Amino acid sequence: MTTTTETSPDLPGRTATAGRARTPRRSTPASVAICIAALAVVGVASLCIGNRWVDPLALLDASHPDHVFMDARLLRTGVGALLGAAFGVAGAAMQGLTRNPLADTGLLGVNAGAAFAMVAGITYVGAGTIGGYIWFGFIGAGVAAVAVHLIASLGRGGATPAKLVIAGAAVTAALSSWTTAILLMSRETIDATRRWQVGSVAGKQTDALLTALPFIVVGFVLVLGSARVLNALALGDDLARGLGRNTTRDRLVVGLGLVLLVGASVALAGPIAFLGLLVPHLVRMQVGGDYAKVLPLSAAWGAVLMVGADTVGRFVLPPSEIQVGVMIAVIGAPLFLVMIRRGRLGSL
Amino acid sequence: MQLSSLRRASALVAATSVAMLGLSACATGSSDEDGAAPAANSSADTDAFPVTIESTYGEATIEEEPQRIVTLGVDGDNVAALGVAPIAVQKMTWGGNAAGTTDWFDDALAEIDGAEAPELLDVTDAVPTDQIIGLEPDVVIATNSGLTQDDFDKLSDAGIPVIAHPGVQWATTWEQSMETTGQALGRTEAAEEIIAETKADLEATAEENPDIVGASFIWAFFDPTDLSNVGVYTTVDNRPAILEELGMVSPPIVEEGGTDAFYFNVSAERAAELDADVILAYGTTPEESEQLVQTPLLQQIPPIANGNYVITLEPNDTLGLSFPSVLGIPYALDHFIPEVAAAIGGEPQVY
Repeated sequence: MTTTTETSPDLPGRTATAGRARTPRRSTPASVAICIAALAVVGVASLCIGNRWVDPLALLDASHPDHVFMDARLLRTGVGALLGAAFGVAGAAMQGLTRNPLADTGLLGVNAGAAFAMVAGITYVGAGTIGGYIWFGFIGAGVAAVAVHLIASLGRGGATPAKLVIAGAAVTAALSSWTTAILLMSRETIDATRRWQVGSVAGKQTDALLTALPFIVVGFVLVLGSARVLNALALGDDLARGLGRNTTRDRLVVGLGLVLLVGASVALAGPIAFLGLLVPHLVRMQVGGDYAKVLPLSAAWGAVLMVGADTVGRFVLPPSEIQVGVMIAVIGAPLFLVMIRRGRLGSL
Repeated sequence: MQLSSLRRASALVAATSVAMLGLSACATGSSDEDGAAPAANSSADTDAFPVTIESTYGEATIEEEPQRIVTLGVDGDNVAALGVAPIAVQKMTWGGNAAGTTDWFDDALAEIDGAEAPELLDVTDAVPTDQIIGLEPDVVIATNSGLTQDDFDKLSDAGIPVIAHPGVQWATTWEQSMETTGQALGRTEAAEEIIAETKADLEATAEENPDIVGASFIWAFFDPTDLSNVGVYTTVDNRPAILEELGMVSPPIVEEGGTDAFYFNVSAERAAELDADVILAYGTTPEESEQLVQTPLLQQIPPIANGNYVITLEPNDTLGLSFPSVLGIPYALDHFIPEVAAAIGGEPQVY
């Protein structure tokens, strides 16, 4: 890695040009076409491939003995696509909001905050259903996001990207320890959360999905609608203000969208790490740094990666299944390392 | 992020093992007069010492009859059954009675002259080795517990003989535990007698419940928040092991799980392959159990579709099997096996 740093002229630096420093390798229509094709491929694969062969026709035939399995796969594919999109777009918005290429909701304490609040809610308040603990998810995500920002704002220079990452790492570490401490004290909670903790899109009940859906949709609207805001923020606060933007209000709107997306997604599937970091970089490599393109494509590629990883996790280790949270890390980590080695992290 | 994922993965491993421990370590119950009576005040065979006992972590030599005995796991039951009061036992934090022990242990202790209530060792986080060293025990007996090699080494270095599990962790049989405890206390004959009584009890139960003999069973656990996998206990786990002693049999899908670990996961997509005469599982509330058996995916499991299931909401009813001892087994035989027999007969049991 050090050699790359020294030799590669290609390495991204933070620029003040809204990420247009790097020329995209592909035209936007081509990128969108590839993305749609990838979505179709993983969607079909997710329905057809699993721990055992199920006739795809069973999906249409309610009397088929395997209909119930195809039904479950359909729901699971839908949940995976929705949450992948949510984590993908949240990661992209987080990177824009903090002007930090390493930002994602996992790194900046938002996932950990949601998880901690929900574990606390399950343990001490007896929140048993997603309708109950989704609120803890929002509160935890919001409080953690604000806390990280306040801590990073201390001292001279305000909330610089570097200080945000350090504050985020510190808050994440503290919250994770507290979560573990609560779990160690209550074996009943461990039982309720042990798989939820790594993240899984499987076996969700339809009512749980319907509970989380409205919040995720509002989150999508707020974040996807913020492309211009994020483009302006990418110029730096001073320039953004010069362009007539109220940066504080802009940050609040995007932040609220993030909290809704992440709080609801974590409540539904557990904190899925890495996806929010990786996907926006993949997208920027394709289309450059314009958030009007980055945000929707991050949502789409997030869905592709999530559904794809879940599908792979379903057949690699029969007779059991690997949770998608584990698979994302297994697939995503090497991919990310390759990108770093080749100096292909898209600039902001 | 990578670090964070790693930490999360290791947290999962830790949480899972603790949860499994919870499943296997559950302990409480009401008193039971039919149980193997403690061999009250049996005395040690003086020729028995010094004795060297080998376990998976290393050897331990006991020079003379131990007076101050500390136990981990279920061995407090075995020591008490031999008529000796341990000075400290593992606290039963999961499903134990209000005092942190089991009622059958308390009953056995009450029959020992001059026995005092033992100190309770909380092993939720780790084995409290410093606390144990402070108790200056003559021996630590832990034939079926969460003891680690580090714990073993630390206690041994402090000059305390430690008797750990002989093979795979959590897979020591109740007989091995009783036998080894008998050796450590110089009471091998008394231990043999208690084992024989317990075996007679098992045989009598099989005779009283003829339906269970030859019936196949799966002992499963379900995670209501993620139904993509069904956990299945392998044949090395004590639960299936004792049911097999009663004449029940494991179906091929369970044999597939091998004997390297005490449980394995089966994808819910393979639910139809989980075929057996009866399926046994834990639940937490009647509502959750009802939801479980109504889930379309899980209804593909034949014994659930056919109403041949037992879901126990009170793990203490099965703990005599999951964390078996000569004191706990008789309780489970009286309270749990009739439920299994009823479920085999087509009456689903949720209780």
